Amino acid sequence: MATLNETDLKLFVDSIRTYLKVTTRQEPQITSAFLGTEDLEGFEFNGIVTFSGSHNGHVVVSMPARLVREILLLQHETDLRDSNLLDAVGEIANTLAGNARKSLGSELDISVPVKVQGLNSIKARVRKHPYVITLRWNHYEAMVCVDMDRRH
Amino acid sequence: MSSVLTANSPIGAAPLKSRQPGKRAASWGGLASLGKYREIIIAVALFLLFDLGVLVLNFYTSFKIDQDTVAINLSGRQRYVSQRVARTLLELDAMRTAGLAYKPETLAELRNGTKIFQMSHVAFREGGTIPGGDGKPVYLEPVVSERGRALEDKVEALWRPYYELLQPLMRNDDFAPGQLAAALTYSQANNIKLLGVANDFVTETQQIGASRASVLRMVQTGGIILALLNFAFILFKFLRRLTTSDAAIEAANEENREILTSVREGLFLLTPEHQLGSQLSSSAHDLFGKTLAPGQDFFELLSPLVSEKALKDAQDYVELLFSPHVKEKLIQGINPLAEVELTVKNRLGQNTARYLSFYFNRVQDGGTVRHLLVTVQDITQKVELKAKLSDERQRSQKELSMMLKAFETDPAMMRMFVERAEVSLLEVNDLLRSTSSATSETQVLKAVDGAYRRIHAIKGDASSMGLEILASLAHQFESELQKLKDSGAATGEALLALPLPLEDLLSKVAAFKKLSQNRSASPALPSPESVLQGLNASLAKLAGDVAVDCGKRVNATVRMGSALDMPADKMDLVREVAVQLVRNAVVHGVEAPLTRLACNKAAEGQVEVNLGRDEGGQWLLSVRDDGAGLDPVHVRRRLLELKWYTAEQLESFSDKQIASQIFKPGFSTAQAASQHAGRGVGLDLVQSNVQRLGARLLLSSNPGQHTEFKIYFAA
Repeated sequence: MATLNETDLKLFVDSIRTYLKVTTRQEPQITSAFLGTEDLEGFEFNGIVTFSGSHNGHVVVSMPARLVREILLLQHETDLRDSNLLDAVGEIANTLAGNARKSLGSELDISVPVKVQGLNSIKARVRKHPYVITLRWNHYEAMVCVDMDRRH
Repeated sequence: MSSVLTANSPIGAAPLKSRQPGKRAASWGGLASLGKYREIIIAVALFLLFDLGVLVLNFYTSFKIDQDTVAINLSGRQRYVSQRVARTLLELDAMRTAGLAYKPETLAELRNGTKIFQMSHVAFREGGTIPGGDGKPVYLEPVVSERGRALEDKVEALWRPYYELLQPLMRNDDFAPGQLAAALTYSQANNIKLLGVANDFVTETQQIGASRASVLRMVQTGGIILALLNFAFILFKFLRRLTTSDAAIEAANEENREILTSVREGLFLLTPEHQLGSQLSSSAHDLFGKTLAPGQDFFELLSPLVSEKALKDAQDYVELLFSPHVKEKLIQGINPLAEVELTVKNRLGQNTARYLSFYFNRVQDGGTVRHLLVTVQDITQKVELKAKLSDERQRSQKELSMMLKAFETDPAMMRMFVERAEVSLLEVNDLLRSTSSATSETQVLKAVDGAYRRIHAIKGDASSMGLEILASLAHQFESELQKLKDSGAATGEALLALPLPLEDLLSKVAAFKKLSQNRSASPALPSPESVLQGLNASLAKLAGDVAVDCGKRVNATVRMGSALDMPADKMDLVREVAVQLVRNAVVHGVEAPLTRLACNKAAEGQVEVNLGRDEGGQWLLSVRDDGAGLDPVHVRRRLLELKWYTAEQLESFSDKQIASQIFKPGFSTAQAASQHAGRGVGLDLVQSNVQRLGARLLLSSNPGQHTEFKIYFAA
């Protein structure tokens, strides 16, 4: 099983950076990139995209409620109920899935993003140590967990 | 247009294939071209034939018309003469009646007239030469028209008796009056008839002339019409053929253009004068990274891109290809341009390395080589893939040899190593993680420095165990960290590069862990003696290995005897310090054998490592080498190069202050980083561990004699 490379990680992070830059005109900063050696503590709102085919695994976008709320406000959204916040995270995950499809080729099967509220901890499923990247946007922290591998 | 690919084929079929051997192609070409123009040649010949025919007919008819004119004139003269004869008869009769003598001129006129009438009459009937209007002889053709013959017969009928009656008057002047009377009587009786017939005959000759002129007109008209038709045919044929071949050439050119614009290879012809042909594929410009011009000298183009030797070889090779007696296939294997590395600017204006391959094929005509077809391909990917493949192969060989080495290593040592390494790597991961909560860039850089030190310690540890692959992975990781530090901003995308080598190291260490667990089936701890021996041996071996890599000779004496009494966590820190100081001693302290010999020292340098307790019960680690010592001048110069201080500041520092600089992160006197030195992390790690041990570090050095690091710490 071939491993991922820096470009693959960049692809996922860039999806989120570009999304935030376009919708809020404020680009998030990458603050850390490390390995998930134990269960990770995520944030309240999570979008999960599952990959199969040429790749195997999933990518989790995890954001705190305050961050998502702020994004919606900047988009002049007034409905700030949890369901709407969850939809927003789902949309971000969807953008990520779209970009992945474009870049990783047609042999990649991508699931519809799953939205989860109040995820307690993110467990490694495919990799022993998933890649974790943290972002800071407007003083809020967000996290992307890339737990996937290339099949061939 | 002289097209590269059209060659002899107007429709450009299979233009890229080499042509038929010269002679055959030429003779086929000749026949084909004759066949192609046969119709046109025939049409032109016919055109000339028509023109010639009309010309000949014209001449003939003009000649006939001339003759007809003579006939008209002479028939008119005959009519006139008949009346003159009748008139002279009347004049003679009048002279006779008046009793006058016959005038000789009247008689001469009668005789002359009769003679001319007779001669003309005979000539009109049978053809013959008679005197013309101007007295010169002309040939008169017999009248052949039906009406002409009939009129002549009538003339004959009227003239014959008349002529008979005139004969006596013709012979001499003393003819009888009766003979004159008889002739006059006949004349008066028949003159009108003769005049009428002569008139009709004149009309007839005129009609013959007129009909011939109309025939001439018709012939001329017909000839011209035929010639015009022929001309129109030629024009039509020619135009059609021209249009067809123009269209074929245009189609061929279009195909050539399409081929040249879309082919991925650079294609062009090379003339025997080494100039580029007029047709270049679009890719050729891209491959060379600049616009090429037809007629440009190929070797001038190559010279800035390849080495002098490669250029010379290429010139010789091209010369060989232009020599027809050398077999092309035989010399293809020695093509010096099969793989050429060039530096070209990419679209962003950055220099990038690119590999091109040039292939040369002869374009022959008969026995001579007219051109060389040059095919240029970008084989960068192929070359890179090959290099990658070879790297992978080397890597897997290294891994295999490392695994074998791991088997050779004492399982207990191995287990201790992997445990230490794993803990260190997890520490590094924690440091990477900690950057997310860093409030300033300095904090991030501090974390990066910490990670750097940990990785450097692992590198030293792996080296001392002989696990080169781990050492080189750690070295790569250091490179990534160095890049991050060099970029000045320890945030953003650069961070993304870090977890990947970390994971690689972790997984390798995990593999070793598994291996050592399987091997040491007995859970019993290794004996302290074996651990100690292993530690001593590994440090001595590290010194030897580093020395070999640096081209030096070193004898290391390691006595870490008291290590057994020390707590394990402290021992790990001490070991890391020892590893770094041993590397440092070999790389920076001990001189190269020749230098040592020049200084009257033994070629083999001495490194001594001791761990023990001093009189006060404190721990003391000392690492001493008999090398060049620490040269403050050298350090000052380096500090100036690094621009850490100004010359004035450096002047103001004492030698002691200068010496303390060598422990700062990033300081190294080595010009380029290698696996053993150059990044300036080793002594930084020593400093850091010394702090963690709560130790005191003493550095003593005697230029040209020795350097010694002493570390004291509480038990």
